[in-house]
Amino acid sequence: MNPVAVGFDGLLALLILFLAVRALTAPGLQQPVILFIAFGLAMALAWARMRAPDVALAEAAIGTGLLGVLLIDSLGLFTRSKSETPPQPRRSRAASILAVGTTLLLAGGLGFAILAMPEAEGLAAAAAEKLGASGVDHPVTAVLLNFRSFDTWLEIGVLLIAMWGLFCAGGREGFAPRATEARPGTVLGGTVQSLLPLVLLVGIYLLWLGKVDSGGAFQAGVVLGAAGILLRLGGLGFPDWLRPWLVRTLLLFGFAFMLLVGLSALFAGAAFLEYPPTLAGPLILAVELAATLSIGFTLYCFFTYLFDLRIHPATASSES
Amino acid sequence: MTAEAHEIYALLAAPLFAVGLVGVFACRHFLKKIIAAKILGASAFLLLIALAARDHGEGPDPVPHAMVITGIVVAVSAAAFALTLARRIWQETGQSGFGEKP
Amino acid sequence: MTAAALSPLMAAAVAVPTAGALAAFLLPNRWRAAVGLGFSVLTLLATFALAAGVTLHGPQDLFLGGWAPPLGIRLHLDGLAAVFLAMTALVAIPVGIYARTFFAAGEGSGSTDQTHLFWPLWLILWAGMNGVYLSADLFNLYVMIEVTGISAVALAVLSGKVPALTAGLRYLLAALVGSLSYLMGVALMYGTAGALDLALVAEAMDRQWTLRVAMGLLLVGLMVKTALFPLHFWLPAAHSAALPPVSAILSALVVKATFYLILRFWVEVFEGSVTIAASQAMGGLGAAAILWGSYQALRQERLKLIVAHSTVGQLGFLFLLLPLITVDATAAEAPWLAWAWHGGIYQALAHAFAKASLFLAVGIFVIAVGSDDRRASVDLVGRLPMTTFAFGLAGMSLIGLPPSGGFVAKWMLLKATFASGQWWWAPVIVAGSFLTAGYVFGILRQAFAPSERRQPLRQVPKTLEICALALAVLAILIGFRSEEVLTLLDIGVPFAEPAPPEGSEP
Repeated sequence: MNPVAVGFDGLLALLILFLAVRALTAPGLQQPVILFIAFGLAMALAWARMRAPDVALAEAAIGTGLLGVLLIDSLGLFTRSKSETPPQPRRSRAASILAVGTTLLLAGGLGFAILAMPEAEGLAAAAAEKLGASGVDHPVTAVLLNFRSFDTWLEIGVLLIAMWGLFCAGGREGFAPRATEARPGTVLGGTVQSLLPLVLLVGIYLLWLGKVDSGGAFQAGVVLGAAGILLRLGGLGFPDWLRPWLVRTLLLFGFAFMLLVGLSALFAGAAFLEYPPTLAGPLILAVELAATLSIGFTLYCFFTYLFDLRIHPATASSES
Repeated sequence: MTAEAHEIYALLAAPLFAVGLVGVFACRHFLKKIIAAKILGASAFLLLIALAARDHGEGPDPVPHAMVITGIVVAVSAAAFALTLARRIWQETGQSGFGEKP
Repeated sequence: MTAAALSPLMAAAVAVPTAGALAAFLLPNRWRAAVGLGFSVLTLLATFALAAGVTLHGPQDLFLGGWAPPLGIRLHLDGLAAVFLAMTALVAIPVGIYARTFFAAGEGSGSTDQTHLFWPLWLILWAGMNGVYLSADLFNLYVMIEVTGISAVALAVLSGKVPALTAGLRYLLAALVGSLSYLMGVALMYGTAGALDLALVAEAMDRQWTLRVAMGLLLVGLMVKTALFPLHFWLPAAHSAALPPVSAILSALVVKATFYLILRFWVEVFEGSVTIAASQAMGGLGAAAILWGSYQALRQERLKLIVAHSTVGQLGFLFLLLPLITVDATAAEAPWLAWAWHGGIYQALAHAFAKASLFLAVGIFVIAVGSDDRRASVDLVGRLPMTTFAFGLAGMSLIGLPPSGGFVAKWMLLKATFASGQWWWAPVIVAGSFLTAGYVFGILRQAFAPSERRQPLRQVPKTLEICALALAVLAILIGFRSEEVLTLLDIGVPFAEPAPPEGSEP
């Protein structure tokens, strides 16, 4: 036992808790958003401390990175577009006491339950035993794309469903025809365009890394999505050659591809999503490629859709 | 990594869960409610990863790791959807919380 | 059909509607309804084949990806799952046909075109619900719940109008709180039991403190999503602001999917660790829901709000099942276990058909009259006879008048309350029926009343009326065919053995 390490973890835990509380209690919007992003980064550090680098990458990239960008973009909207914000009524003393009391009570009860938890074995041994038959060398990738690929398939589906949700909420299916305020000549735009090949390279490297080490489709997808978001911020609008049918195809490609793989297993007489042992490795790679493409594109679309919605609000008339 | 460290993080999940849950109801602004929901989700993820770190000789348990990666993607998808709804309500009515006078 | 054919069919119950959703999204708008309906019929066929298969061959397991638990994910088919699969498919077809006509007639869309997303969203929602019925894995169920929840919210805001958006955001936040509370419960259970498969977790369950907290978090999370009083705050606005076919889906089916999970956890995983006090508390919340929801429905001025509040009340009846089956007695000693079990499930079925019909009928009234105000729907019986009749039939089942599915449900629940000695639920059931009669007859009286103030009605496509009527007829018909439904229901579930003829009173 290393007292320095324990001290570090204790301090990091306190910092995470402090950031979470302040993110919700700090006045205004700008501070909470920044504190929340700091919270996410501190969480990524905690994952890394617990030897979960895949999770740390996913959290830093998607949980904090992408969501942080969306929140910062929203910050501009919520603080700018309406000139005067309605004066917020002060919260009553009783309500504050109630909130704090409930928090303490919940934390105490749950904390006690966690302390009283017996040491169960978990599934590490089972996963290690079957790793050889999975077609990949990295245990997390084996769980994600073979042992529990049904979860992963549905999770890629959730991204697509959420995109449909964005379309419904935004009042427009599809994207604004060519955003108009392209700013080619800006420093950001130029930098982004010269950085693009490098970003793509990092994405492909992460995807390949998932075979043997931490990394894989999600992280690679996020890097691709991030490249697109940078391009959008640099003034490059939604590309013209992305026709609506192509957009739809790209959005559902990963989800549909895994469905086809799963269904072909059915026709071969195996269980849904079962890979033949000899083909498991190549099939997983193909599935990862398809997933990377769709994840990256969907994340890009999340951002672009929200960004364009700010510039070109939906025309749907509202009635109450 | 010491045996105690993951216990610290497991225990941290309890106050985070409470703060997130109360925050979703107590915060007024949509944006803060969404942040609170994200903190609520992070608490469950934290506990899962802390459980995975309990070493029984095979290294960390990959199953909770995979569950949390799945969970993070789901949480971000839901948050992006909630954010779109919140922004649209704000653009249409100028309301930034439930029950506000437009 | 052989037992081996059931495994691909179980996967198909999720994969076929998903494929339909993807095909509908990929195709141009004008094709979507046809493709959606086509895949709906395929899904219906798959679920009926599953129901037939489970009757012939008994309960089945499917290991997804070929990996058995504890590492892999297991799907499990039994009578209870088959009944809910069939219920969903039977509601889906008339609602789907209604939706096709509704959107084709240009109803519900403003200047926007996102209403075409109805088909992809509805089919993926259906896939998610089928997954909820079949999955036997704690974490896979979390993903299924999220698929169901997010697509349900997206459907709720399909109109893009402000009241729907506000209600939708509240719905989404409530759904997230529910699913994340569930996930925290899953984390605690995994830490304690070291497994995710329901059967393995059930073996590890005892009355240990951690597992009790886990159970509480899991149940509260699911209760938020089922809108059990007092966690129903999000439901009335979300269900009433949605478009009529969507309201029907949300109220008839989506809240039942999480109730189904509560039931499954209660009898298969928590069995032996739940206390009688906990079951009485759940029953108490159910009773409060019946009284509060029905009373609120009585007070509403807008038709869709009446029907939405009625859902809060009718969901309460489902929870009366829990105290009645949580007793220190075996099925052989206590015949009421089977009565309560059957009564509770019957309530879920009858309410699904009746509530879907009511929302579709109210949608027709609103199109015809041009207003959601209950006072505007006067003198309709001569002018919209089929829809008024459908409303009456569905209302009859909701109240619990014989002969109807609702009557069978409430009668069996009443019998179980007296036989078990838990007579205190009986006045609640009766009062709930009277309150329900109050708001149903309130609307019907207006529809029958000749009025000077009657407005000219807008033409309503006949297809819409037929769909509403078909669902109402189903709500009545299941009252006549209870033998078949109960036989299916009893396959592979506790309380299966029909009670011996001379059941002893406690």
